[in-house]
Amino acid sequence: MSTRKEQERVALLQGTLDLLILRTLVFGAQHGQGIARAIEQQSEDTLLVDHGSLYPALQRLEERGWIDAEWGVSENNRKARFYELTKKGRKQLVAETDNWRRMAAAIGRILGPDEA
Amino acid sequence: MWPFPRRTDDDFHAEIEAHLAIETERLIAEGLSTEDAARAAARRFGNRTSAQERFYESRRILWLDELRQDVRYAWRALRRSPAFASVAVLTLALGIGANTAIFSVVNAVLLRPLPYRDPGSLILIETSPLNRAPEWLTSAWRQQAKTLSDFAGSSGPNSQTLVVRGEPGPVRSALITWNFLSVLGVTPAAGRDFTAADATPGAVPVAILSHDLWTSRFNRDESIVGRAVTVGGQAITVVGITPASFRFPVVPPVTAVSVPLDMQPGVMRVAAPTTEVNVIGRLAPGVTAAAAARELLTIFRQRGATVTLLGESELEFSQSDVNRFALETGPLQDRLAGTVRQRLWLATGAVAFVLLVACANVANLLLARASTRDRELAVRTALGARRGRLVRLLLTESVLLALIGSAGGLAIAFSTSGLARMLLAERVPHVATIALDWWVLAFTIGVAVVTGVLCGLASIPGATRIRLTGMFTGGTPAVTGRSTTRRVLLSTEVAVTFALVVGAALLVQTFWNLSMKDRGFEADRLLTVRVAPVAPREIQRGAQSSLYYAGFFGDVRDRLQRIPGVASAGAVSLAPLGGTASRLANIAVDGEDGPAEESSTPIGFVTPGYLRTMRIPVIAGRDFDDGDRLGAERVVIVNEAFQRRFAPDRTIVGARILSITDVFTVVGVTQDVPDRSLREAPEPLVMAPLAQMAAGHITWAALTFVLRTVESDPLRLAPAVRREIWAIDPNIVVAEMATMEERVALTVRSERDSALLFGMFAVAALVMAAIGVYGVASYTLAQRTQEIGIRVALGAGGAEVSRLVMMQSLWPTAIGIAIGIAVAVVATRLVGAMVYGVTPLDPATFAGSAFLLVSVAVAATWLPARRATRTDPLLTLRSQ
Repeated sequence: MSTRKEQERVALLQGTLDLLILRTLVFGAQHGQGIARAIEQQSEDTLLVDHGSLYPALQRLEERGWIDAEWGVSENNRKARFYELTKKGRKQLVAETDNWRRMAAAIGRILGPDEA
Repeated sequence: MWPFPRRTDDDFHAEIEAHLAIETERLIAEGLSTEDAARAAARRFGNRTSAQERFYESRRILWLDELRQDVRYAWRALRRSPAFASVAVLTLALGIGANTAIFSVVNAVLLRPLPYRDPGSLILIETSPLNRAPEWLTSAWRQQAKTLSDFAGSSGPNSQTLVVRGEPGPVRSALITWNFLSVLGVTPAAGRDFTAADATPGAVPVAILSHDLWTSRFNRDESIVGRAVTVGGQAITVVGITPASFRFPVVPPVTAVSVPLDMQPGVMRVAAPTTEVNVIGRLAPGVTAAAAARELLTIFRQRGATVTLLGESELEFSQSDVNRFALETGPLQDRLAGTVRQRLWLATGAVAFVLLVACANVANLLLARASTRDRELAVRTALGARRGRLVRLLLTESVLLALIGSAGGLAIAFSTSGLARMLLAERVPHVATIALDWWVLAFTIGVAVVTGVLCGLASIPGATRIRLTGMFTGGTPAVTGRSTTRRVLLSTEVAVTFALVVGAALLVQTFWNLSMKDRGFEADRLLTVRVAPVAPREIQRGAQSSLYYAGFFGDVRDRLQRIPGVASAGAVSLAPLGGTASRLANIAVDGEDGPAEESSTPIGFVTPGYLRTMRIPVIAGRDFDDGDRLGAERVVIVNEAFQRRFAPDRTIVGARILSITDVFTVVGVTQDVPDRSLREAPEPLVMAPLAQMAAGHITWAALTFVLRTVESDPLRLAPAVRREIWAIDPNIVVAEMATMEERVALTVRSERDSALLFGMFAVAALVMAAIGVYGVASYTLAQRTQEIGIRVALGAGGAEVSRLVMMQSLWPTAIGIAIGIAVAVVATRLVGAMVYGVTPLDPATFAGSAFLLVSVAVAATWLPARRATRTDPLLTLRSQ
């Protein structure tokens, strides 16, 4: 069924973004723009965060109870919605990180040492 | 996932705005112009509408979407096979509707709280015979009972005549204690409630009118409050009107006038032989009904009464041989439901059976349909649909069917709730209307969902175990287990139907046996009416009373006999099938004591012409005549039961009967006439001429007149009868005008209702079972067309082929009947107490029901079998 395949593909992308969002929040509460900026900077601008996808992703994480949100004021005195990691989110981050490392290693083994 | 406070679209929008603002600032800081920065930020963000949409999507719940998909799909699938859908929906509507209708009565009688204040703490204390409950007992309750915070009593209904502007009309009155309404928590709609002052001796007689009476006789004229009306020849001031919704809890529904009971004696004469007082108690907080019963018991024992426990809530007291009475107590709602409760549960069981049959039937239909959908399901499986998703799709379909069916069911229940009430709870006074409230709605939807899931589950075997290879290489569907399921379902259906048919047959026979029973008199063309005079109070119990009553009733009889169309008339104090009477204690015949056990024999008083009018045969001796008057020899006529009991082996005519107070000579013997119900054998009975009645026997003040009419409809004389009697005095009580046929029908009313109810259930189940059998036979035919084609090609005859098809459904039918016999043996125990003239395990009934089911099954398989014989071998073989 075509819809299912679409969902799975989206899920994979979302999963990656979710992991990165959770990781970024380990350092403390941050607003959406800040999260996107942090991911880009830490990946040395290799990863480009699609701002349009970021907010639905944040919404999803919030609904799952992995992050909390609250309106606050940014360093430039602007109103912004700040996100914070919950206990559940922290656990999720550990599990997801583990998963990702194993998968990356496995894919790495299959692709062999030389390519790229 | 649900309990999250919902985030609004606006909030999400604001967040995006904030993002763009921050991003723009950052870009400006990096050196872009304000304009360029804003554009870049917007470009970087991409499609804002899409983000907003995705936010919206994320808030929806996935399974809800899938459910919507499934429902839409199921709806389309059902619309594609309208024949299947309509049969299934109709079947389910019948099954669910029957359940809803019965539940609406159960809800009204047993579950819905009574319409009084704090109804859970009300108990009912009934004593019988109530006129004997000694005054000291009731006063003892009042003084000592700590488990009860309040008491109130009611009595009635009593037939009375209400005269409004010179126009007499019948009313039924209740006597209530002054606090009766306030104990129930009911406030009059107009005027005031009774007060303690109303119940003191010498107070002005007062009454409260029922809303119905106020409407029908007084046109809702509020100015009637404070004015006097004439009831039973006495002026009584109306002080209040009850609310429209108010129903007396114990007294039957037509009650109209209420007078304080405490004002006894003599405020309102009573046209019934006994004054029964039912006491309603309000339990003190935290006290159970059982604890209250225990306390009453203790109080009675302290006062020296002998108490015998007859049951959990039933006690028998005796203070002396004469003062003996039984007392029953329990929560008000339970006591009011009374014997209706048993019938309700029985009906509930029966409709559950009907629903089971409907369910099996729809499951069978679903299975048959599934076989035509194998290809579709196989395609879905091939495309990767999980088994769970397929199951869910099928369940969605059957639940959808059941929900549509339940809408039909509600319509059926709504249109039949009056019938259901009439058949089941006519005598429960507080159940005036049976509302389809939220409980009933919730029940219906609950039943529909459970039914849908059950039907769906039963139809799943095979549906999801499709071998794909077989499917796509063409040929017959490679599905296993399905035909077995179908046969099991069919057997279940037949077994349950059989049990219902047996039950209905027993109840119909019971009704028939009772209706056809010889009553000892001819009931057609008889008009009956109860008449009570307005005696001046000093005459009511005095020495002159017997002369007064004899004169009055003789006068009425003469007048009635003169009405054109009346062939003959007579009167009796104890009407056939009419109930209680005065009794003679411990009589002896010709100096010989009767049977050793203590006895009391009912005595009825009749006018000359009574036996002739009723056509009760005098089988020995003579009838009464005008010579049997005061001063002449005191004579009586006895019935056959009397002769059997007291003088089994000799002629009784001419014998002398001695009681404590009287000596009589027997001048005749009549055939037995049932005295209370057609079920019970008549008691020994003594009849004496009214003219010779002694004052001591007057515990009643009314006679039942019987008129044999020339015309076939006796009720057409009713207006003339009323006119003739009210011509003597408009205050005379003329009540309970009915034909004798109606009175007889009333005594077999509950038998008729049960027979009707169960008959309808049985017919519904039979129709469904027939559909089921037909379905299996047609399915067999469809499945085995190829095989049958080969057989025909090889020379099989029509008879052989039709036998093949018929046997496929007749075998499950036979097995179903075998199981049904076992079910019926257990189930008929429940109706054991209700049947009459037939044993619950009557072999003829069982055999007849089995024959009926087999006939229905054969008839249902006949069409498919005939179709099978017309199989064209070439066509079927080529189709492969």
